[in-house]
Amino acid sequence: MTTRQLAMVMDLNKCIGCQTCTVACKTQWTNRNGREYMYWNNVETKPGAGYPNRWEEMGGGFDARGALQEGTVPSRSADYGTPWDFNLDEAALGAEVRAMGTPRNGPNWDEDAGAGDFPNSYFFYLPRICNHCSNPGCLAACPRGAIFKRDQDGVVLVDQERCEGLRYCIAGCPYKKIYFNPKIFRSEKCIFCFPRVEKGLPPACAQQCVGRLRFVGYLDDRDGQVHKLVTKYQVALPLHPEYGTQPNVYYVPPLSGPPKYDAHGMPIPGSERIPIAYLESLFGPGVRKALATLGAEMARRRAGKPSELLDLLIAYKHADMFRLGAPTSPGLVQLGKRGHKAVEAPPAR
Amino acid sequence: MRAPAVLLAALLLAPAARAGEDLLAAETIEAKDVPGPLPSDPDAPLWDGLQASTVMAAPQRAIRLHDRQANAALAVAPARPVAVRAATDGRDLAVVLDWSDAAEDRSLPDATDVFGDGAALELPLRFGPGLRLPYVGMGDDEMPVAVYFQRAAAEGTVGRGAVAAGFGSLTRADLGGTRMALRRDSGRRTWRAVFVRPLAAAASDLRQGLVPFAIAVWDGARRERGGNKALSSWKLLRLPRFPLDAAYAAEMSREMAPGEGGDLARGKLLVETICAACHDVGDKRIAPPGMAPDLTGIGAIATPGYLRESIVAPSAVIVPSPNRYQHQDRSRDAGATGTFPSDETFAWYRRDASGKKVSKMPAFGSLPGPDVAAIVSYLMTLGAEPPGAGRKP
Repeated sequence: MTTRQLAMVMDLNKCIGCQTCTVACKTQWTNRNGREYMYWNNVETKPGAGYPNRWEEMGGGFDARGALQEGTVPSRSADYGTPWDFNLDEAALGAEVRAMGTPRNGPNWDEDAGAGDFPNSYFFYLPRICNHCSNPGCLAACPRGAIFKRDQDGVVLVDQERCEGLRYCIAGCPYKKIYFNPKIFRSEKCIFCFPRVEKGLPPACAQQCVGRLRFVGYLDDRDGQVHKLVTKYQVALPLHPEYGTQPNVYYVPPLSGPPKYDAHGMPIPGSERIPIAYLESLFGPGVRKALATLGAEMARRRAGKPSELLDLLIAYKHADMFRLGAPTSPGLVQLGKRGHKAVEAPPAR
Repeated sequence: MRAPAVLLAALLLAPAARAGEDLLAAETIEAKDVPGPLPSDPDAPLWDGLQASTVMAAPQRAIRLHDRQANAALAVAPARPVAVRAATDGRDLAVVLDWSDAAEDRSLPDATDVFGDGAALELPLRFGPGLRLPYVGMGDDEMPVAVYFQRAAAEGTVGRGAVAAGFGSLTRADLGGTRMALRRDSGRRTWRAVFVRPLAAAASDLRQGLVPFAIAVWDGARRERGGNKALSSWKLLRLPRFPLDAAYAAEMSREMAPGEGGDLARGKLLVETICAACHDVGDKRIAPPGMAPDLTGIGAIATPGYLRESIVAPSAVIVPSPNRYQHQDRSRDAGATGTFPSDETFAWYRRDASGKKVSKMPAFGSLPGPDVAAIVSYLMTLGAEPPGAGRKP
């Protein structure tokens, strides 16, 4: 039984799409041994197809009555995009840099494409990790009970001893943030850098974020930024709450940006460059209230009045963004309840 | 679809021949006594000298998994005939499976959505007089099973032994001295799977006259893996080297013989008016999906005895619920961590005051005998229905 839930808040108004988080994660966890195609952390452009390609159309999650729904298992070549190399050895000798093979799809294929027509086009970045959901679709879909939430922090992990590589978890996760490693025949996923968390350190993606947009803490820590942004000010919202998994990564939605321009190049007062309806399709019905709160607090600040919310979001001190408490495990990491044998073989006669 | 009689009907139950006996014989395959040692090579000439019996493997539909494409394939998946041969040299038991599969499917080291063909042999850990059969789908709490499993991979075959006591409990185990092999015949488009294990192994002692077994095959092209597979009902191996226990033969006869034929029309009516309240069955789908085992095709994987017992004494065999987190109870408080508790409506058992598992199905012990027989007879006809019958799109 999960007693506390760790969560992350990402302020999308600060994300510049630099992929430093992606690289921090990849070099730490997924650059080897069948994980090369995986991005436990990716930054995609919205509106856009994302990674894997059109993941939002792949099903999984729960319906309004709380019943798990069918989903699909993406194809590495068609949906994730097969990783490719460049001819850097040749390029070092003067050849033109080119991709080896014919790249057809990749984790950031439609970067900055967005939507709308110039000069009223728009896009924003959406960094995504596993949501470490309170009701995970992956966990519910596993017929073997190989996926579990840790009691102490709600981090969702795959018990590698129970996993048999059946991949129903991938169908069940509506965010497609659990991956099949065909080399070791197991499912693998973002582990919220739990070995770091146990040492009181935030996940590598959050630590390395140059835009300082990621807050990490426990939902029940009333003095923490995460609690304040999610519960007190309600400016941080879950991605696709309608998927019914109760995700624990929260996003401060992007402000609408500059107004749209009319045919004469004049700004249209009150226009929505990023349509609110689009933001609501991503972050649910709380978008309007969140944006109104952000607008009001910004106005207060412009008027010279104090604003706790804006002080939080500005994140003057990077270290203040992470509240993980004292290290719980200075030595070996605590995996939680894993590795149980469901059935013991009878002793030899 | 019943296997041809290979055996010994006379020897089995000689004196008081009844209607069930021939049928029991039809459920029985002789493990021929041969000189050892037994090969595990699929091309060994020994196998072709053995009599083959056809066992039907039917798609598993009792519980539903959540891969959309796999379920679409399941909707039109047929039952598959598997030719079963068996032999023993007194030390080992060999079971050889041959089946047709149009495409050769192997898992690939660089693909995420490719699934290998495979096969498995299931044996009870304990069997014999006074011991009932385990639930055919991976056993149950009281009656665990040993499972020998092989799957086609890019570099060859992945094979392993495991033990299980119900859905989701399959656990790898060293079952001791098992040899397995899987071979594709690309000309005839067939697979052959060979399983050889010591008669006396850590997993179980097979040195008895009558040994229950079940088989399963997976078609990777249908995205079959894990519980999404085609399986047989329990069958019997006759090992003539060992004496037949008359009591056990009689028990298995009662288990597998359909008994006096029930009124099929009456059975259909009863199933669709009583059972269907909780069990989805064919195109009669009134109950919330997952509330109880789906009975579509149940006749292909269950024995008549098991069905009879499930009606009059459902707590005799407790089948573990599938993953209980598949249904959230949104009417309850999600608490500080935001987790909605599981909806216990979809649990298949509860615990009584003493902590014992009790099936949530009420016992229909008061149902008149002919009605029970009618239901069983009707359910046993399910499983031969054409592909796609009764599946929601």
